Amino acid sequence: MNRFRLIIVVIVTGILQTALFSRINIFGATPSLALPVIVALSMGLGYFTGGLAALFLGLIEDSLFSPILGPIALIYFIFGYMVGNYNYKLNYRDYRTGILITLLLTVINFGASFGMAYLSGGLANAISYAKGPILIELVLNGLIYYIVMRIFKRLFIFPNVSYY
Amino acid sequence: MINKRRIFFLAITGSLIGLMALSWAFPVLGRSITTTYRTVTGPVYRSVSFTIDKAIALGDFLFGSRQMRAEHKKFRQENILLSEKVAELETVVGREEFLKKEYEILKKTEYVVQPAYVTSQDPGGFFFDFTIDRGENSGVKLGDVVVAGEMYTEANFIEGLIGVVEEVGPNWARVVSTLNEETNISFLNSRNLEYGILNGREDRGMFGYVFQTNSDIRVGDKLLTSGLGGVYPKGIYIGEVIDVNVNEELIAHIIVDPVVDFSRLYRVLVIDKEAGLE
Repeated sequence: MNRFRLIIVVIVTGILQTALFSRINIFGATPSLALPVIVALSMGLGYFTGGLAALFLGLIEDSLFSPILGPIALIYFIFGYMVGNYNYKLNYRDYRTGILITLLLTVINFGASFGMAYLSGGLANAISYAKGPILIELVLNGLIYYIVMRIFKRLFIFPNVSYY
Repeated sequence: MINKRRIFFLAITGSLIGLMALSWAFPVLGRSITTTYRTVTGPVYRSVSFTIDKAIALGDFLFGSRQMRAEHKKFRQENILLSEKVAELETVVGREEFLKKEYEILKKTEYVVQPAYVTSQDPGGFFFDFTIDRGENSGVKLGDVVVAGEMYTEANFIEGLIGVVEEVGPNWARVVSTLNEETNISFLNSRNLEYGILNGREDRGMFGYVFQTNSDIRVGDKLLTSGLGGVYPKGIYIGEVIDVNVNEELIAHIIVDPVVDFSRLYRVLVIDKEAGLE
């Protein structure tokens, strides 16, 4: 049951991220759905499931916007794997932990986006984004994580310790 | 357990690095995968975009803000047109012949346009790269120019330059916007008909310079595409000059605020470049 729901969640997240969330503009900030979903899945389901879900989410974004396939998938996979790898030390029931990890990954992901923006010709926008909107994105992503995790707790059966 | 995790991590990471190297070395391979994905998921993205667009239209209708914005936009455009006419009249004595030719060219130019929905954009929200729901099947071709217009076909008012089609699939096209730093735009100042180029981007807008030394370009001047270089047709509104700096060599460096509000871009118009240039 978890597997089927997971596939649906990954597909819906991929579509919503690129078709809806990327076009939301709140005081110049664009929130991310993919990062909170990766954190929530990896914290709840472990490195294997979290890593693979993150990998497919990244491939969806890569296939739409990256000139080469793989960079976003690689970044997301590392995020998913790292969070999932230490999920036995993290308490997914405590929202604060997940929110903090989401904020940290948002900053790291922005650093990666900054690098890609440099390569693909959008550095000026990235600099502008770093001057303020990134702070709003942090708040929004934290809030999205809270909502996503509340939904996932009802949707998935999270084991206490994930082995696989 | 640790080895298993390491093997999993290394296998996936290695595969992804391999995939990156392959799609970099053989762009056709990467392109065929992305084309297949975009073509297959095109209808889904189109449905989502259509739903979002209608939801926004409904929200605007219920709260009335859209109507206010439409009126504001209409008055603003009328104001811009009047200002441009006044500016042209100011220079008419010295440049009557040039203006006459200019007027004739603009009068004859009738673009063939078709509306399209923006179905997805780069996840960072920078809007230098986005996808629309029209492709080869609708006659969209590589190099077609994308502009912003009103939501409804009756209005069809071309508001400003957005970008150019860089990749086309059966039911989608990828557009590189003017926000992209690699996009150079040759411009024509609507007030004094001087030429220049916008060849950079910064957080305040696009920057560039006027070809002519001792230029009298001013803050508030409106820039149009010049048609030079053949990438963009002549006469599309780019934006307004917000800053002018003249250097020691008397070359005017400018910063331009794009006319298009990229943060609220849901529907665009694709200009059939070949038909427009006929």
